[in-house]
Amino acid sequence: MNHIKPSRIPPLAALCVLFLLTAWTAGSLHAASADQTRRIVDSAQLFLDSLSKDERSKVMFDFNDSAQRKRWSNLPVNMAERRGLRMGDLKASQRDAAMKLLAASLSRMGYEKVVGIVESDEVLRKEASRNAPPFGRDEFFISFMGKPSVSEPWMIQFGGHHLALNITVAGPHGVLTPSLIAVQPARFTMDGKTVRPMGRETDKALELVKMLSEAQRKEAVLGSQMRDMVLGPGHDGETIQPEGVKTSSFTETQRRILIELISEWSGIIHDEAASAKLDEIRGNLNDTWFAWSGPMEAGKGYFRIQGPTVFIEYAPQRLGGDVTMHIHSMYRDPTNDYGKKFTTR
Amino acid sequence: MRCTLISAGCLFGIVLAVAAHRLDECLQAIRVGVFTDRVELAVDITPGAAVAGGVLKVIDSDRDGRISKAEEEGYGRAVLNDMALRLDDRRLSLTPISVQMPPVPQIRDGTGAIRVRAAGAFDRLRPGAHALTLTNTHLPDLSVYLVNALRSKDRSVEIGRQTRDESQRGYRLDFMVTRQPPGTGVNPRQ
Repeated sequence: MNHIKPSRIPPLAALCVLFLLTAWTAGSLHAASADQTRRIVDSAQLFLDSLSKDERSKVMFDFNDSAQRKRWSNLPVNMAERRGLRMGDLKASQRDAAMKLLAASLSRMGYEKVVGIVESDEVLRKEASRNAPPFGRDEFFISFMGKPSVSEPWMIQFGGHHLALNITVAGPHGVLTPSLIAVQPARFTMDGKTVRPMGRETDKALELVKMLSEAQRKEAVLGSQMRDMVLGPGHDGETIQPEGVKTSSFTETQRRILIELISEWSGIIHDEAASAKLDEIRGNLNDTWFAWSGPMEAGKGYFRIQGPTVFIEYAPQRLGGDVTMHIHSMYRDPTNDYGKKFTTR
Repeated sequence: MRCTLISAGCLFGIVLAVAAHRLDECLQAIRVGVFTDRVELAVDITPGAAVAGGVLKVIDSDRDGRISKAEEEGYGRAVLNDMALRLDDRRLSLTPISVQMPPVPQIRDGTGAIRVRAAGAFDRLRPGAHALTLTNTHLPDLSVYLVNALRSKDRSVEIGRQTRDESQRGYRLDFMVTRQPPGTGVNPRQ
């Protein structure tokens, strides 16, 4: 006769409970993500409904239109063509609907960051000479690749100078990579308040590099100047060899700061997608690298975070004189740019 | 006179402050792909608006304001001639694969990247440690440099340490060849 030892029952029961809890949690998250997708689709539909037939034809592209997919850049719109609808050509109600769609697609933090970047470009416009490129909140473009759907994959592209959001929606999944997040001026005053759209990432990166031990810093700091990003616009599909310090050597506190730093990019998309993405990044933390180049002062150093499913570069730019006022950054996922994991059949 | 200088200075400052593209330097960004039988270089050269005239003079050898196919290819060769690539202390010659030239106005604006692709072939490497060095002397007075190894697509190549001088004109890449792919022999000369 087989006897089950009493001591084995609790672990088995615990496993069953754990399995049920996991299944329930996964199901709940899936449902929450599906609800979020529904909200994004509804917002997209409201925006599309506000457009004329001609405007709709300008804003819609085929999901597999590879030329439109890579039509994004850090450059002003007269130097790198964008297609879709220009915000300055929309009526106030249409513009409002476009911004509501962005708000539905992004987290609150992400939306505020994006609005901050757009407003910084407006500051550039006001300061610009007559011959300067077109800057300002009118010079941002919105387009769709594929038809908004709760089940079929589609994309929202929103961007202009210093901003390129590529948001892929595929059923319950939301993907923000690749996206270019940049700003100039990086610090400005609006309604009497100082605004730093990329302030937290600037400060957290400095906090992290200063927190490294001497041995970790020796690994992390690259002994050469980094004048620009390596995998900026035009480098889809490329993966460079990681360098710097492996974050498996990080203490719990260093890991926490690193995760907070990564969240400044991964958390731009809506909370459900951001949470799933961050869990994935956390799971790969022992195979993630952090590299730094340049002065250890806020906004003056280049840094890179690279893991199996995340690639972030932050590169202060000399143009404009003060490197702390002009920042370029790139957010990629070598395994899932444009949501290819969820859209390839 | 003083007012004029101050005004000119202010205007230049404003232009600098709001310019949105590369201005006074030429960015040379190189990605290095390592395989057991070749090295591939992807060289992107983006001259800033203020130095583009100097770069165009090098490219447009007949000074007719247009870039012919022969001038494109000639510039590609000139770029590669300025690169000294060595594998385990042996000089490798680079063969151009392609040269993509953006329209002249884009180069003048500082927004056009000239893309040169090249490869250096060698006999299949034996398993063990190897080192690749690259020295780039192309347009040193105008340029800033980036050089990075791509993650190897060749499963028998393990990329190791990358060492650069401060300007990234000088670069060394250590790598290991771990095993030979099935069905390939090892060339005893290597």
